Amino acid sequence: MVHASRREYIPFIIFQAATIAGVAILFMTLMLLWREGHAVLSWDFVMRPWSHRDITSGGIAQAIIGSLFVGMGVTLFSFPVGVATAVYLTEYSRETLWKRVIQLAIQNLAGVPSVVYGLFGLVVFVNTLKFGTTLIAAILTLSVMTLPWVITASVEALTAVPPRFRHSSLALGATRWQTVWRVVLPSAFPGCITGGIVGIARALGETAPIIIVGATFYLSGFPTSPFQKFMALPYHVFILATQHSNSSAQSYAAATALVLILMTFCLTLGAIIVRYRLRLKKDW
Amino acid sequence: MSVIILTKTLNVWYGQFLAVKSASVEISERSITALIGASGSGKSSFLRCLNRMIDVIPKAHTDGQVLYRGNNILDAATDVIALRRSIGMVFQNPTPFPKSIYDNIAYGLEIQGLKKRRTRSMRLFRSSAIDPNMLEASLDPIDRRVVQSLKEAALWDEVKDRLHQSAFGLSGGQQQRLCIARSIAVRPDVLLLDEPCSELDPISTRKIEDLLLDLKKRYTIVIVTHNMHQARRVSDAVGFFHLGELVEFGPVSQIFVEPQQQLTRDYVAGAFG
Repeated sequence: MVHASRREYIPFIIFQAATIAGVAILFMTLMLLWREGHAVLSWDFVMRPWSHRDITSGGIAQAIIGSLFVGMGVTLFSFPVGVATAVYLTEYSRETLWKRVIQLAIQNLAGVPSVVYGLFGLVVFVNTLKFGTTLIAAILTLSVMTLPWVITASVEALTAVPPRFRHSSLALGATRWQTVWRVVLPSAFPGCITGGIVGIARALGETAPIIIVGATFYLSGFPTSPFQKFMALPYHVFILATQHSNSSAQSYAAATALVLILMTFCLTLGAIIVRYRLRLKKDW
Repeated sequence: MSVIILTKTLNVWYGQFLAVKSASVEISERSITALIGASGSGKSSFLRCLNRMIDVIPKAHTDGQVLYRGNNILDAATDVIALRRSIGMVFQNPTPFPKSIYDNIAYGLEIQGLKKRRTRSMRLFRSSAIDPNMLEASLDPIDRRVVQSLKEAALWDEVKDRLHQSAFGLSGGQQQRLCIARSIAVRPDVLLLDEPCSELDPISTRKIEDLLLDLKKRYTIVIVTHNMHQARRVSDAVGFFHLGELVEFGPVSQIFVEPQQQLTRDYVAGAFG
């Protein structure tokens, strides 16, 4: 234990208790899900298609594939767009009132409830652009929702790169783009990835917006094009937990939630490894 | 010696503040010109005009003329990228990039379009060691220039066994010589140095001064320094700035032995500054 004098003892206890409480809640959630759902978890459960009439005879394969597509789609869309926006804001735009208004707006957008993004997606992607309630509409809606996180994290990462790197590069006769691409971005990339990780995790767990723009609770096959409906894990959990009369539905809901957590972890783990390797190279 | 850079009534403003007042200077080819003066005297601002690095400072603007080989580089039509390839700059703090020693030097060449043969196939992982003997024998233009620049900067022997390692592992003095090597790798015409030794110990400073005296044979050097002894040791011509004004400009013997202005006399005698 940290050596704490008597005066420091009380704050120390408070901080320690807060840490323990945070970890304990996370641990208890996982424990509860495990207790409820572990009996159902099996290879069949993960691999087999969903059977609506008799849930014990099927699995959650469509929901896994659907969420996987959503996760990859959101990453492919919101990460490049978010980083590009951040580069524009930090490296190209001048220090104007306009820029500050944009940044403030982006930061505030991060706090908008997800269901509002769902309605936005319904109006813009589903109705105006006529994508219908489809996978692509859901990917775009969730991408718009995660953009503020990616942008904010990337802006912070980019502004943390010391100006002297930029000046040295410019003084060697580099163009601004060469400086951004070859000096600034490699240094800022780990921070941008952090924003991306938070974004994917949020997108994968979101239920309200995808119900509005394209997720469905039952699908006989897998989506073969982005213009089809899809199943997703969080919505599946919701259906099992609240809408299903089967007595073992609760266990299936818990098991599905565990799969969702595991999948989010796996998708972000790749990003975490890349970030770790990049950080090894960055030491100023 | 022929004049390579000529400034005529050069003014530098930061917003409403006039930082350099009507400075007129003649800089000779293949010589070392030192700019001395107290902090805030305008010497660094003046230096930054010579390769338009003043442009990166918000709210800075200039008027007057800076003639480099006869062309006014303050002209809006100047190709700033090409200019900075001809007139390189080394900053006060050593500023290596977060890259390997080799890549730090190669950077300036790669941005000019020289193709790199030494590709790192797995960029995410630490690149493998570079054999110094193979590199010295290499015919690749980038390899050759890297070796040559490190030798010119008197750094080759100290770093040849760790070219693939991060430049941040070097000492402050080595980092600054790496920055000089990086600047001369692109074969500039003029090298500007902004207080390159202010953060270094006396031994590292000495090495850099020796290096500058050697580089003078091939490059024109303009150095801003706080240190009057350094100006006296290395320079051929000296400009003394005070509160934005170029008080006196002349050969080193004039400034330190028989200055024409009372202010200069007081400053070099250590009466203020």
